[in-house]
Amino acid sequence: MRTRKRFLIGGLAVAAAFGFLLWMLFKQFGSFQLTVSQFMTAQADLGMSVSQFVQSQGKADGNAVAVHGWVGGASADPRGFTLTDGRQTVTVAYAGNARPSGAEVVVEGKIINSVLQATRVTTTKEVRIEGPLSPDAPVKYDVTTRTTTFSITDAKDAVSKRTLPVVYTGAVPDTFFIDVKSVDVSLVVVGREGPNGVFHATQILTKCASKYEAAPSTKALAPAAR
Amino acid sequence: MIADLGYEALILALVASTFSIILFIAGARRDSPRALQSARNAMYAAVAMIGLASLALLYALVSHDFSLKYVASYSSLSSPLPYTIAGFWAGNGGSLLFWALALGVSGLIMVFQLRRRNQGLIPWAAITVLVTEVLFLVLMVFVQNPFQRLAVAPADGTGLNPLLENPGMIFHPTTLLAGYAVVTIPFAIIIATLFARDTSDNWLGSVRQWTLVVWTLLGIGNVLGMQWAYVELGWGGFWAWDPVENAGLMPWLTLTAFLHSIMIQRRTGSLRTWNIALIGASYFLAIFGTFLTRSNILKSVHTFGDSGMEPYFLFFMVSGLILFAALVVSRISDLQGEARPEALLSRETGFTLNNVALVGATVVVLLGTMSPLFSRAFTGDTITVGPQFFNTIVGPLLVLIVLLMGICPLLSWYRTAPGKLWKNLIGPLYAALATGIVLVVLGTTGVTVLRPYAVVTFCICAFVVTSIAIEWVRGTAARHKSRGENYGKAFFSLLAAGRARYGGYIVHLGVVLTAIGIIGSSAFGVSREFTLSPGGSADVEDYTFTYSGLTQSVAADRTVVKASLSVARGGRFIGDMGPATTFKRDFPNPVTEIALRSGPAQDLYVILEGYDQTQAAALKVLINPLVFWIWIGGGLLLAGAVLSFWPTRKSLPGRKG
Repeated sequence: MRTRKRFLIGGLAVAAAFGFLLWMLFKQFGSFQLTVSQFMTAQADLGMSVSQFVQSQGKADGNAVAVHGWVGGASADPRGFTLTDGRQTVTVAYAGNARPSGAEVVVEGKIINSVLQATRVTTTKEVRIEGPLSPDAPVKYDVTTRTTTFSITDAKDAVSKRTLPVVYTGAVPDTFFIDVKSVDVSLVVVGREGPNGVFHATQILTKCASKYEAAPSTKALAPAAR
Repeated sequence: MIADLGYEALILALVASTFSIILFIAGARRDSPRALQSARNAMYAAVAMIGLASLALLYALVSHDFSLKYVASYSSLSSPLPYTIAGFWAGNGGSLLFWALALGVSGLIMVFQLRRRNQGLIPWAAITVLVTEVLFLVLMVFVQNPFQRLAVAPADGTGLNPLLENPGMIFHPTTLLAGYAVVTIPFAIIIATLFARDTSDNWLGSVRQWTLVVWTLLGIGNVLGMQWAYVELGWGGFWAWDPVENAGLMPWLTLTAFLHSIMIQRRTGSLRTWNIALIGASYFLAIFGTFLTRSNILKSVHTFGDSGMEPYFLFFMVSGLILFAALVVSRISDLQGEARPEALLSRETGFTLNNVALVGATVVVLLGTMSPLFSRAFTGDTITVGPQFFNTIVGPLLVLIVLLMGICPLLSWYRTAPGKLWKNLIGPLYAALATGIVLVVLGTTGVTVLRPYAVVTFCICAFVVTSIAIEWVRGTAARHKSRGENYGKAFFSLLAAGRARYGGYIVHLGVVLTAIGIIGSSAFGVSREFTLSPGGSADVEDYTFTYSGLTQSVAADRTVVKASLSVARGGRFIGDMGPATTFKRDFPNPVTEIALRSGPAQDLYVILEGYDQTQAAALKVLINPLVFWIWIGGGLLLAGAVLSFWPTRKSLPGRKG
């Protein structure tokens, strides 16, 4: 009986540890699934854009700010980087680890002597946006850059319809073209926003509405996707 | 005409099944052989009606009766006969019918089998089968009728989506659907033993055999699905952790756990409740898998779109789970195993660990698959986890399971002397060490990339293969010595004498090969993308691809655009490759047709991503090492399962009385 009790306690401990690990990984790898409108609202909540920051810089001296933008590259000061939103660029002083160029980040910090001193730089997480293709923007493919551009929009019955331009590099899943023809079918794009309000998709997930067993479009185990 | 007959047969099957359930309940309660006989007859009639409906659908497909919506949607005049027949399970209603047929036929076999040895189990086992059957009949009669008529019959049908025109379409859905259906049988037998309070374990053999059948069907179905995805879908991989793929994997994992833990029950009489829970989990996961392919609750590429079947499945699963749990709880006192002192160093411990890892992996896959639903229910936000989540947790668990495949055979039941274990471990450990050294040397000298996780996994694979090889060599040598057989004969009679055991080892080898293929391709794969104009060339590793232009060929129902590539390796021409895109008439989607040169060392995989009027072509080249071995592993899995399933002479019915 004593062994049984010991097994029970051991089992519970293992289960608890396992659950905790699972929860951490869930937080690490989970990505939000949003509609176009929800995504645009969430992006606006991340912080002011670089352009907004440039306009308000003088007044905001000494205040804490959060600026949302994209890493442009290393600045003249080795301990920092430039932040851009495609229109305006500012220099950020930052003592922490460098972020790769092009990464979408939120910079929190203070303005001291007109320089944005970052206390924390957070890289945004990938999101999944679900919605039908926008009938207004044609799907375009460029063979040299291997990019497909299109727009997705809010569902047909949504109150306010907003549209998001998307760019995707690589082979488009075959079933994508079913969605192209029938605009009602919604697809999912996975990725992050890039400068100038264009969404950079790393994956397109399509659903084949009527046929059994259509193509998985995720590039999960494909070594290529790494 | 034939079509109306099909629908009427379905209604009759539903009536007969319901009638049979009532008679079985009545017969079991009053212990009336006559009622039970009528119940059995009603069950035969129900299965016969399902068979008739299936023949009607098959006939409608083969005779191109496009007045049926189903036939018009999934077949056409121009499709070859195998794909016309495959239209049977291409759509919603037809695949339900296939499911019902597989369950009905296996249910009949079960009843005949039980009549010989375990007659008392028939009523409740049959009731479980019939209740499941009723769910599918109700769905066909009321929601998804495969015999629905069109107001105006078109001259020709739409045909299969060209993505489905692959030999995979013939075998992958059938094996998986049959696996989902047949898992009902071992579950039904267990349910019957609970009702009958039969703790004799006489029925364990037949439960094991049915489980092996299901396990093999699901395993082969999954491997075929991977193969199909690899050659047809044109993204270079074979597993995407898509919800529907996961649905096929989960019951397979729990059944694998079950096949190991019933060995403990056979030996020691313990783990009864656990085994019942495992078979129950497999059954409900299979129903859940069928449900996932047919509902809209999770975004998956495999689903059928809105079908109106969700409420039926949900009601069935929830009420079924409650009844099942109540039944197990009410019989809990029957299920206590004999307590015996267990040594920590024993095969039981190894199998227990194996079960924990397999069930853990199932739980992770289930939670990950359901994450959008759970997160929406608990936080209001929809959060989805991707492949990284699964690879990070399930990957190490599967590696642990592979490691256990090397250790468990070296452990004896009840108790293992540490000294003896150590003696057995030395050979495999040396093999693992040698593999590790070779891989690290290759990695550091730049011959391959150095990937720690691949090194560790390959070492473990070497360990397992050596430990199995030692078992075989030792067994053969012992037989050679004791019976004087020559080595070849000794080896084969060893396999024949210990079918379950050596079949299991062959399955283990298959799993190791599959693991080598998966790890090899994910760790050492190379991918390059480039755009070429006619006359241009590009290098990938030591391969050179020279592009000469696009050719277009037009057939009756399709147009194929092919890029002509000539491939050289190390300057020497090795062959032409022609990745293509096919446009089938009436279908909006093109079909990417990859070009593949497969070999034991590596696969060369070329995708035509796109092209323009100037004949410039965007190409993607993948070098996938060792993928070949995944399919060989799948073949071994089948061979090993057949070997362990093959009845030994003494277990053949009739001899034992």
